[in-house]
Amino acid sequence: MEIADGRTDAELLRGRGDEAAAFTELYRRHVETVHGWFRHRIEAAASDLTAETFAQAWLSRRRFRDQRDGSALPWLLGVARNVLRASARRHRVETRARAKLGLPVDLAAEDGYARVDERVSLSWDLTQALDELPEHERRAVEMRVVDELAYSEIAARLAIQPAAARLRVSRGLRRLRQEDR
Amino acid sequence: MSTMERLPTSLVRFESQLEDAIRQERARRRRLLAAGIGTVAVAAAIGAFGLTVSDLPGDEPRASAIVRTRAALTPPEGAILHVVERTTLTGPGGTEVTRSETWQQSTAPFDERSISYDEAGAVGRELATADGRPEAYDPQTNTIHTTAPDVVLPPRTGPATGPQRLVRAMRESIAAGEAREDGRVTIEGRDAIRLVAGDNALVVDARTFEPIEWTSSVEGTGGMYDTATTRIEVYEWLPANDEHTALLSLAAQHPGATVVTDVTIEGVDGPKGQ
Repeated sequence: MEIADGRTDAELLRGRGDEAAAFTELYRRHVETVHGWFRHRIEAAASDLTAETFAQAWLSRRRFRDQRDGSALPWLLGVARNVLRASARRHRVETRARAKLGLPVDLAAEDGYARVDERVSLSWDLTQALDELPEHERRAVEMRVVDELAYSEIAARLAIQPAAARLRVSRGLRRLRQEDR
Repeated sequence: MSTMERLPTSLVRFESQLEDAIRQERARRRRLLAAGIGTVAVAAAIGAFGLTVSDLPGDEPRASAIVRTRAALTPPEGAILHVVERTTLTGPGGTEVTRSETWQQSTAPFDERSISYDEAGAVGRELATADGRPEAYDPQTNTIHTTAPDVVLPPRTGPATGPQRLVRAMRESIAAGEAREDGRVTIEGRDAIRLVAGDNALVVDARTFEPIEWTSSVEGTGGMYDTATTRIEVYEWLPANDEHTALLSLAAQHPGATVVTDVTIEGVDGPKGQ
């Protein structure tokens, strides 16, 4: 991934020159995708979680490893998942990275959402329950329930047969139901 | 930008807020480095650390550890100090780890070269001082940046920063009076002796009495960090022969590099420094 000045995401994160401007460029490139990822899962908290993701990404930028032709998006979505997971565990929107950087920690209010933590409590529960599933089942359930993908698409993304995708989703949902009792 | 137009107002605004926060965080970081956190300021915080032999009457093993530590911290005439150190800052601001390798002359003109590494071990910045002139190496362009020859710089009276200042502070503090031996410890398989003074501690190799680890309270970080632990991975005094003197020089380490005299220094007289 390159922009007009020729720098990849990886080069932006290496921080030569103006680090603040470079990271802001990274923000501009990927904020919509990260926000969309959160909005699909937990809309009322999407702005705060997106902001927290980029604040956390800045603080942990040295852990970035270029594994996708210079693109930082897979890494950013990994940070996003960790932020979502930490928020679900604490039952409130994660704010620690923004607090450390002195950034605003309640963007939801600006977007017109009041008392966002209460509004999203059910989503937190779902996120936490999903998080406790085995990895292969969690991914399948997430694609089916959150992303609303067809079984054929899930199968293609996981490189398995559609029947196996259906089985994984079924097992995952059964496990979620059992844990809900 | 169309991307930003589709975002909530809060995230559009967050872009400039994030950029400002990063600039402020970088400025804080530069102030920490200027204060010599990890080396100089940490050492300065332990002025009370010290012990004279006469403070420990009748305790030969303790006195011996202190005396021999002082000897290990005293540079041989004209030697070059080579140190690899990893400093961990901890406090309300979280944890920050820096690692660097430094070669420093112990006598005038106090030339030095240092390489900083990130947490993954990749090379960060490579800086040097040659006859008082600051230099920086850019590996991407194979260029050494320095000041113009006609820039007038004040004479250096000693290493401004870095491990030699830390070593000197440790040595002087040991002579000052309040340290005590705090028993044997093992660090990475090495048998070591722990010396403490107040909240500060110095761990030295039990055989060579060279410093292994230095822990101290930290000031001047705006409350972000309160403790610094410097692990000294390599500590050696090198004789000042041609081979070792070349370690101080960016030009010697990067013989094909282009030299560009574009570094300016605020407050220094001279055509480039004004």
